[in-house]
Amino acid sequence: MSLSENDLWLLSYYRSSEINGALFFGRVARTLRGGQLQAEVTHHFADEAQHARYWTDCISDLGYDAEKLRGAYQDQYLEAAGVPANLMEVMAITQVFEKRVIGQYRQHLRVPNLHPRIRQTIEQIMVDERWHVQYVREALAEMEGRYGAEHVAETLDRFTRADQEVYAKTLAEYGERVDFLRRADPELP
Amino acid sequence: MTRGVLLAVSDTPLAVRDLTAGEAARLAERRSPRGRRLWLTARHALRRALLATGRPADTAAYRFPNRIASLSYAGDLAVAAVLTGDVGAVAGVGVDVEVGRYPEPRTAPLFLTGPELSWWDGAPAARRGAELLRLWTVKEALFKADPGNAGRTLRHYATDRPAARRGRATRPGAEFRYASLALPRGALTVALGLSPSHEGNAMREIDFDSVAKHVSSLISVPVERLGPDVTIAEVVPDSFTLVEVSVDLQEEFDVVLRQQDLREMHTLGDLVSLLRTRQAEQVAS
Repeated sequence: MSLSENDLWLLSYYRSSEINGALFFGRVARTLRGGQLQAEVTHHFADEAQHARYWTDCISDLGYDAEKLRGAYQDQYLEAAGVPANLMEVMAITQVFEKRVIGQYRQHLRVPNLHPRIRQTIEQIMVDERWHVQYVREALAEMEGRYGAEHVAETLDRFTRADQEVYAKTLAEYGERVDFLRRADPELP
Repeated sequence: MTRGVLLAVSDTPLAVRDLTAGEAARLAERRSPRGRRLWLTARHALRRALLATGRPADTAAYRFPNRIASLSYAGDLAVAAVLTGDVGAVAGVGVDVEVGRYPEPRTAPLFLTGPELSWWDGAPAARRGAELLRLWTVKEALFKADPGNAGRTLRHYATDRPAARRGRATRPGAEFRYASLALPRGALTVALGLSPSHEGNAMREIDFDSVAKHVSSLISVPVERLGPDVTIAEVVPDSFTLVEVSVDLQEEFDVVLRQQDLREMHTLGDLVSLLRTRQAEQVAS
């Protein structure tokens, strides 16, 4: 199959974002004391690295090399949302980000005539992403005792607003590269 | 940091054919049919809990009292509680289940502290039996969760708020958390004894040297180069590293920082002052 320049760029962008996710969660996993959350965040870190591998393999199977991109979606995230100040905020930004990832991949699945290899890669990743959302939601619920339920809710709101801003900016910045997604989902801004 | 307790319930005995050699030997020590039935039912609950937490399921390896597991019986019902997650922060776990009869009101002073007794005296008459039963299970669970319970009585354990179905309890020199569930004409409580290292962590003294040493290991900058006037921007190269340093220090010293704090601190000296201030506020609250 021949990938358009934009297709290749987007799949490479996914790969780059998964690599950045792995690097971030590797750091978070290093900071945690022993326990369930440490195990889950370490698992999450491994998942993100594995997803980067899935995209590398997918692009390779389609006859291409992944583009070497430094940028990733997360880059603008901390700028807009502010640096997460504590473990709860790390989990809150993760919750918002993971939901965005699921939304983005779901949207990509709606693209007409999507290549089966790309569909397979997204579906494989989505299984892990759903678990990420679930464990982070549970971790946040447990943290309400320490940080306060209201503060947790406010933080999620703050990061959700920042996420919407970043997503709109990303679409504006890479408009033509992701135009085929826009056509698949007319509700996009 | 995260910890939990997995509860498993059984009202049927484990089949003798399913016993390991060690379990069969332990069963053989029991003579009465009722004792054997109860023991097998409890082992059934314990095995379920161990399997669900991914621990080795041969219950013969567990003798009670035990730091990570606890058992309780009520009639033909057995409940097992097994720790999950951050076991290192826990000194012991205790579970107690009671179903059926409420304790005699005149026994209340034998296991309730003065404030608990005052609260219970003021409880609505229709609730007093159930509340007394709940508090009994709380005290029993606390006692079981305490590795230093030798020579103690149930009155040595004091709940912070007797009305609370979950909360904190103490005895001199020890701290606990507990949670109770209401059952039809009964109650179940699980308690965790916190390890001295956990308590110590909350009160750990924060000084510049310990913070600098910690930061040095995270950012690979020699500790000699980290003085109180060194700016964070000089030594923390990017936002991801700042997140790592910030979360790591909070985990290490059991302190919570907020985003405003990160915006206001500029030097390592500021960081240490902030950690101290937040620690003092947390202790005070």
